[in-house]
Order: sequence, then C-alpha cells, then structure tokens
Amino acid sequence: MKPQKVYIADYETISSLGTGNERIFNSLKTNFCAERTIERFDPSGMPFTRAAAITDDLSPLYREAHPKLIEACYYDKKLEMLVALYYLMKTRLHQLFSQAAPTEKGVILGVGINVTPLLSLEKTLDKLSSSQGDLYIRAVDSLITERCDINPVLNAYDLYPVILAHELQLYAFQKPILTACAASTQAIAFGYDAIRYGEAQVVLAGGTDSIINDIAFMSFGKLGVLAETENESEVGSCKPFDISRNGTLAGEAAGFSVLMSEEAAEKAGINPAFELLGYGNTLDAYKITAPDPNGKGMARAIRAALTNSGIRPEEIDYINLHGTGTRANDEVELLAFREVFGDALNGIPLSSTKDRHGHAIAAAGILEFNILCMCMENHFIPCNLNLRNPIGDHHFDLVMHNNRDKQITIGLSNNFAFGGVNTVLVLKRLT
Amino acid sequence: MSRKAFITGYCLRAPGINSDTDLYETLVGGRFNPVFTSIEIAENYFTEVGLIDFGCEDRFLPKASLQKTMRPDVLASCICISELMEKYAITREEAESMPLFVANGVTLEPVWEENNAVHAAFYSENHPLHKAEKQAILYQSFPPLSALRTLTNATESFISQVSGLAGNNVTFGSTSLSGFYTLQEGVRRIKRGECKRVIVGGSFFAGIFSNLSFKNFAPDSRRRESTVAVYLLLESEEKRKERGNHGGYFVHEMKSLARVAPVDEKPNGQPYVEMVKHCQPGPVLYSGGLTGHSFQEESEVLQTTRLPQFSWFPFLGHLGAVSMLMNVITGISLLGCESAAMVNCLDRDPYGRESLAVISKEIE
Repeated sequence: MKPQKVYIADYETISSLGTGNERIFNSLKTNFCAERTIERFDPSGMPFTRAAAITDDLSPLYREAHPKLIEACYYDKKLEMLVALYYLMKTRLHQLFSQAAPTEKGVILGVGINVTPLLSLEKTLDKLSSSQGDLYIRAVDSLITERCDINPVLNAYDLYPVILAHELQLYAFQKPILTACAASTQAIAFGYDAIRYGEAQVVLAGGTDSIINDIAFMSFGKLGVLAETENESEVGSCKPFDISRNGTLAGEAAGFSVLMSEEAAEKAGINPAFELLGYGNTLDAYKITAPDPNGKGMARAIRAALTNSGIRPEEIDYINLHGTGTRANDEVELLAFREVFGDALNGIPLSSTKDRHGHAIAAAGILEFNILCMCMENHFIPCNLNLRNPIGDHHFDLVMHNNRDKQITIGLSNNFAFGGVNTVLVLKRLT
Repeated sequence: MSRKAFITGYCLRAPGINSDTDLYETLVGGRFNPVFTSIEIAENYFTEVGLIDFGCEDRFLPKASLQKTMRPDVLASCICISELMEKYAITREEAESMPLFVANGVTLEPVWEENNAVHAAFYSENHPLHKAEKQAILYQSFPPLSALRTLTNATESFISQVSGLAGNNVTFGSTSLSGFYTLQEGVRRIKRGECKRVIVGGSFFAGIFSNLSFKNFAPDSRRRESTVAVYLLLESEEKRKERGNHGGYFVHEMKSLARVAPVDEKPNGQPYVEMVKHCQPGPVLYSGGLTGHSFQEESEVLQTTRLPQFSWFPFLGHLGAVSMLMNVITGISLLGCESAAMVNCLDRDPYGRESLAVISKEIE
C-alpha cells in the first residue's frame, strides 16, 4: 500500500493562556504570561509558590457529562481538561469523525502520571483521622465502592482515550502514551504512522496533563527542575535560554489534533491547512536524570525528522523549541540543533513558549504543536518572553524583546522528555 | 520489506520463573513454586501478590546506585534486556538505532512507602497543624528521587540507560491491551522494513495501586496478581537468514477488537465471541482477566472451541500490561514441544477490549 499523506484537519487547546485557540493566540500576541501565585493548593512551606494554572472555570463546558465522569473530574485535573476540551470541540469533532467507519478511526493520547492530590482528599482523610501511615491508601479505597468503568480517583491510563473512543466511536485503537514530556508529541507521531500506513483514516491525537498539585510539586521540586520563587511580586521565573535560568514553571494543558488521510479529507470535503511531513523519535541512552550533554540523542531525532520529511535545514522557517528553562535542557537543545543544522540554523527564528504557559509535561507536545499551528496560520513568531541574556553563541536567532510577523511555511516542534526521550515533528502550511 | 516478523528470543522474570528453561519445565514438568504475599489494602480487603526473584549473574545487574532508584518491575526489565542482548549478540552500535516498544502497568506502587512517610507527617501527633507547617513537613519528608520510581517512562528510560537502546520508542499503558500494542508496533516496523531487529515487551508491578486502579471492575473480589517482566526480540526474515538461522516462530496474525462500552455500562458480556472466529487450529492461551469470575467466563466460552486451552491466571493471577506477552512466550515454549504448528494468544482487558496474536512455527 502506498503511504498516505497526513493532514491536520482541525485542532483545539485548553491551557493557562486561555480556553480555546482564539484566546490562546490572543494571549501570545499580547505577551500575556500565565504565571501567578498558586491558589489551587497552599504551597507555603515549599520553595515554589507560582505556577501557570488554568483559572477559567471549565465545569460549565462539561455539565452534560456522565455524573461519574464529573465526580472523577473533581479529583483529576487532567481528566477535567480532557473532558472540557471534548465538549468545547464536540460539534466539530462529531462532524470530522462522522465520515469514517468506526474501525477506521483511532485515538492516541499522551497522559501524565495518575496521582490524586493530597489536599483534594483532605476531607476523606479527616474522616479516617488517625496517625497511621496508610491513610492515603485507605482514603482512596473508601472512594472506590461501585462497579463502573470510572473510578472517582486513580483510573487506569486507558480511561482517557476510552472515554473519547466511546463518544466518537473510535474503534481502530485507543492508545495512552506514557513518555512524560514527549508523550503527546509521540501521540502525534504514532498517529501519523497509523494514517500513513493505513491503520486508520482519522486519528484524534493529543494529550492532557497537569502538574499543579501538591504531590507533583514535591516530586518535581525535590528533583530540582522547578524554578524557585525568588520574588513574590515578580512574574517571569521561567527563563528558557537565559544565562540566569533556574528551572521550569509548572503548567497544565489539554489539546487535540485531528489527523486525517488525504482520502478521508477529500471524502469529508475538508481543505486542510497543514500537512504533517514526518517525525524523528529517539532515546538518549544516557542518564535517566539528565540529557546527554553532547545532545547526541536529540540530534539523531532532529536529523531523522528532517530525513523522514524530506526537508533540508534551510527550508525551516521557525522552530518551537522545548526550552524548559532548566539548566540541563536548554544548552544541550541548542547544541543538538547546531550539530544538525550547522550554519543553516543562523537564520532560523527560535523560541520557547513555556515561559508564558508553563511546562504541561505530557501535554507539552500537543500544546506547543497547536501553538505552532496558530503561529503558522497567523504569520506570527512569539518571542522568548523572559530572555534577556541568551546562552550560546550570538549567531542563534533566539527571538527576544518583541514578537515577529513572518510567514512560516515549514515549522518544527520538538519535545525532549525527562528520561531521555526525544521527539521532533515537522509541519507544513498548505493554504 | 520482510513478509514475516520472527520472534527470535525472549527473556522473562515472573514468580517462580526466571528463564525460558524455567518456563519450559514449568509447562512440561509441572515444577512451579511461585512465592506469594498477602497484602491488606483496607479492612477485609486483601490481595495476593506474586513476587519475582532477581537472581541472575552479576553482569546482568545494573549498578547498585541505579538499582536503588528502580521499581522492582523496572529492575526485572533491565535484567531481562541485558540477558537478551548478550544472548543474541546485540552490540552497542546496533542498539543505538534499535527500536524499543514498552508496555507498562500502573506505576504508583513505589510511592506506597513514601506515602506512609508523607501521611505520617501529614497526620502527625501535632495535627491539626497550620497548612503551611503541614506542607513544610510534607515537602521535607518527600524522598528526593521519588519521581524516578514513579515516572511513567521509567522502564523505557532505565532500559535505554543500561542497554544503550536508543532508536524509535514508546511506552504504552496501562491495561493488558498495551502489551498487544507493543507487539503490533514491533511487527509492523519489521514488516515495513524500518528495522531488522526490534525489542518489544513490558512490565507490570502488582500490588496495592494496581488493585485500586482496577477495583471498580471487581469491587468485592479477593484478587491475585503478579509482578512480571517479559521482553521479546523480533527479527526480519532477512536478518534471521543473515545469521544462518532457520526455523523459528513468527507472528502469523494480529487482531484487536477495541469496541468500548458506554461509561455507565459493564464491558460486553460474553468474551472472545468474535475473536475465536479468527483462532487457528492449535492451543489457545488466554489471560483470564482480573478476577476468578472473568477467568471462569473466558474458560467457558473457549471450551466451546474444543481447542486445547491454557491460562496462567489460576497460577499467577492478573498480569496486567504483560498478559498478552506472557501468552506469546508461553505459546513459543509450547510450539517447541508440541506437534501443533500454531498457537492462539488471547487477551481481554478490563474495558472489554479483546486482542488475538497467532504465533506460527516456521517449518524448515
């Protein structure tokens, strides 16, 4: 079978920059930074008090959802964002997926780790009050009493795609991907393969994740990857590619990208705006706690993405970098791009948008891929908002101070996960 | 392009089974002594958990400092991969471009001890404390490397670190269907000619969190499950011939039925009704699901096929993400000692999604 072209038929996003693409793009244009003091739980006692949290009340979006699902959304922010996103895009999704047979449609999502924040369990914990150490287990256990597909807490990762599969009859496959910061990037990549090689005609790819909860803060905080709050009144703690960067900003997001074959697009009468040209996907095989300082794994992923897409470095108009703002990632990322692009990198605008919306971990890939789509549609390049003193040689075009207007025909989006998973996507604007 | 994807070799760690020889002797000789422990999850709610033995030659063990940060299923995975690489002469150079597709189950189990510490702090004798004080105690008591043990891609990333495997990759989770997906991913890549060799496999960490994650499917049951790691080396036909290897086992057919029920309904009643239509003459290996009830249901349906059947469920219980892969390697072991030319490996996950992998013996 001849490999199929893979188009992006539609996309939608919920993030701390706004609910829906339109609001998110407006936030990008106006240089809105979603960083603020955490209100969802009390961070006092920890060295971090800020995050890029969604402040919109999402519940009106999903009030018609199943009561069990609504209950689970209370405990699980990433489930809430996913369900809200589905309802936000419901009419369009049903229209897009109505043309293909159920066995020709699949769903693949990057999903973050399943923890139940301690403080959302506090009332339950209080009821069980004792000095025993197994209260968390007992609290969770006491909430799961019924025979149903949905637990109020601690669901299997499969539940996330399964819910969507049921709503949209996506019966070809339902795959959750668990590769942390590269999870939803890989979801798009493996969705691409599914269409390219005829496993499906339409794929709902994306992801959802939130690390704005007490357990995640303790976990990531102790690893030293979160930017410590230095000045309570000053926004801008996440500074990708800046000499003074000291960590990332916790974030959250959910996003969908509807991937479609040429045949399915024609059948649905859709004139797609983007073609996904290919991807590269590698492992570092270095240390689980840090990227390879020589950037070999990243460079192999970038090179593979270009080769598989049939694109030369000089054809790239913009790169949306992973740029976490951590000491470990940013320098190696630039090194890897320099290794592959050589001097051709000098003319290419580079930026990370994590300083605005935070690091959405398993949803970082879909959020930043969708932002790339927005930028390409609007001939727009966002600047590195908090960058003042860039690292690396002065030939890198790390966009600073102001956003730019520029036509982007070919764009790159990449994510390099904790644990050394490197995934790069190449996107082409068609219309 | 390769027409066939061969299963050249495998390694595993399961309760009472540390090698392919152990597996063969268990199946044929009936020698099987798994170790189980009983865990009380809540009042009158117990689970039996099968434990694995990490016994192996020292050279297959990761460094002691790494072992400390690994979950047991991750450690077992790393041992399996090291054994597999040595046995099948996978060089570091080859590993750099070799794909690795992993299925992983629930990964929160290691936070059990952490949670004890954290909650002891949370509800310490000074309780009720001011929230800031509680939070400070929580933060101080949280182990620094906890994230490594709970990381959802810890298996894949640790394997990569210790083995040098650095090609295309993914981690699917978390039910038994993910094991099917990893095998399918490897088979497809070989058939498309993207690679000559690929490692697929997965691990499952049995225990409290697995029970809690799946408790809604069987709230009243006393359950049994086992920690398991299974990894397979798949090869293209060309690669096999290149090594002068003939005969062997290949993936004849793979099918899945991922029709899901509405959220407020139980998964479809009768299991495998569609899947048995695709079964080939030969033994049927099936997973048995989560509980004794689901095992019974599956057994009854499969008895109507009149095909010989076997399940690990009565011995090891639920095997999570690794169920299908365990059936596949068991099938290979059976094909090695029986006259059958094919085995059928069946699985049904808690959402009622079914999958079938038919493994065939290549006649020289």
